[in-house]
Amino acid sequence: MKKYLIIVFLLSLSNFLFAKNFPSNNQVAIVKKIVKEVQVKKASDSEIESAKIGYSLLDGGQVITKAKSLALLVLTKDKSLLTIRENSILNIYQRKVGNGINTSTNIDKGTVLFKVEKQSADDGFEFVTPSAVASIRGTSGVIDADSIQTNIYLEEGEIFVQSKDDPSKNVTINGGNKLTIDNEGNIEVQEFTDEDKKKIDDTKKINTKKIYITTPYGILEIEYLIE
Amino acid sequence: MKRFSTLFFILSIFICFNLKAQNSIQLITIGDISSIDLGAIYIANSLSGQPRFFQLVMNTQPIGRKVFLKGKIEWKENLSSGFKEVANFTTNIFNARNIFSDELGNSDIKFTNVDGDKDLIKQIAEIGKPKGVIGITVQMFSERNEILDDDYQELIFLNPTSTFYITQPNNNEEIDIGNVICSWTSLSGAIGYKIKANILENESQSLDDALNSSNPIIDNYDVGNETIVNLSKISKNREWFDGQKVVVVVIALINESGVVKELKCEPIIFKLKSLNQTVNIYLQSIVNFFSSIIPNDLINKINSGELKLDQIEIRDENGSIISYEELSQILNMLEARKDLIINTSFQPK
Repeated sequence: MKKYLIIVFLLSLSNFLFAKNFPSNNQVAIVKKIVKEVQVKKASDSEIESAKIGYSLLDGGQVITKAKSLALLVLTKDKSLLTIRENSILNIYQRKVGNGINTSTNIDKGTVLFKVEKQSADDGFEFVTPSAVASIRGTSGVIDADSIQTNIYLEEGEIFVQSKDDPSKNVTINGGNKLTIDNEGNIEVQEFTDEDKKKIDDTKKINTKKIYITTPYGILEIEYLIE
Repeated sequence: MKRFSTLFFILSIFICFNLKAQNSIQLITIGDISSIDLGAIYIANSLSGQPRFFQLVMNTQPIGRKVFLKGKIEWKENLSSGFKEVANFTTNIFNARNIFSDELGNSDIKFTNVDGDKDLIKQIAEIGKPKGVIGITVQMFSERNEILDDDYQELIFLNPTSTFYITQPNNNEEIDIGNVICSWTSLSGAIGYKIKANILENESQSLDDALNSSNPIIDNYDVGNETIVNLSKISKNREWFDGQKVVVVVIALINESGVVKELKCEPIIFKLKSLNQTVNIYLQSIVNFFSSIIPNDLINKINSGELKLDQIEIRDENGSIISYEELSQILNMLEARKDLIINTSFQPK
């Protein structure tokens, strides 16, 4: 009997120690920062509401950023960061597959700065846009997508990109390159230009500053992005 | 007879002049005069306990001629008051040579007579620290009581703040931006003056902080011996604008034993105003930037000069004051990078 209890205890312990860190309540991400107007849906079947810092997104959660707005998400699983720039719509899904966790971030439109932590062999992380599916294991860059084409600016690491409609059209690119892929699967890869580098730098600007000019007749306010 | 009188007169002048030319005494201050104990200026038959603070250089014909000295020490507490005699002395006869102050009464040179104003000496002694201006006069006489030469020096102590001051503008006065006359009291012993001025960036800033902050508007501008200058006319490192508060200080240059020391007056502050009501450049930049959201009546108030720069307070989200210049730079940057602007708004009071 004593031996049986020990085995049960060890099994329980190993399950506790080696289990995947799958968040309770299927919490996928938390809103870490908001600038101006950001709307969220907690899950696929939830109502749209104004985002607040600390808001939890579940599987199927959605983030909508309005003009001049942005949201910074931190993924619960591995603390990867997604900065969703203005006029973007992003849906995030996370499912347990076998021993791993697959995270899929669908960008319907807009620009997302990503810094994805290195994924374990069992885990997967992908961005899905109207024209591409990009699989990554740990890398950083910017994805800029609309209904016609997707631009991926890869700063570090490696990314495998395939056409959404024709997976046979695919390519792997490394840091320092920009990839453009359209709805027909046409792929173009080139090294960063100065304009590309500026685009990445601008996308990284998430801190804001506010200035209040108080006059006897009212207060002027300006909010702008800083480095 | 008339011709003889004229000749005698000219001859007398020549003899006196020649006597002076051949015999001279120079009083040269040396060392750090700030270490002198003023109470000891009353020469209690010796200056031996004091640091050497002057040297008497005597040249006579013949060399080493028998002479004696008479001296007078005066003091005034500040430049606007008059000198009061502290003490006078007469020495015995001795062979002329170069001597230091601490040899007076402490060598073969003794005082035969010392007179002092005891009340004044007590007052000076109570002050302790050197303050004000000390005037020292020495006269060198031949043993036949003919005056051979004399000299006079003033010792100015680096603390006469109440005596060296700006007479205009008055503190907190509003001055026409195009005609800022600045004048100050003349400091005895000053060999020149410099002017420093800078903008008071906010009300919490001290005047000294304003003066010491970077990029002063007027940076130690040398005005020579003038004691009045039009600040609007002298060259500036940058422009100033109506509505701004300006801190100004005058710095006197004092030659002490060959070393030029600086003595600052109390800084004062004045405010610039524009008589021709041109719109302040900073206000204009605010109007331009926020033109789409500022109500017309506020724009009119700015353009008419009704709204002054000093009625505006600029702060960031942490409550820190932002200067007009900083704001101007930010607005210029944002004009060029409109994509960085997240929001602008106006909330009427």
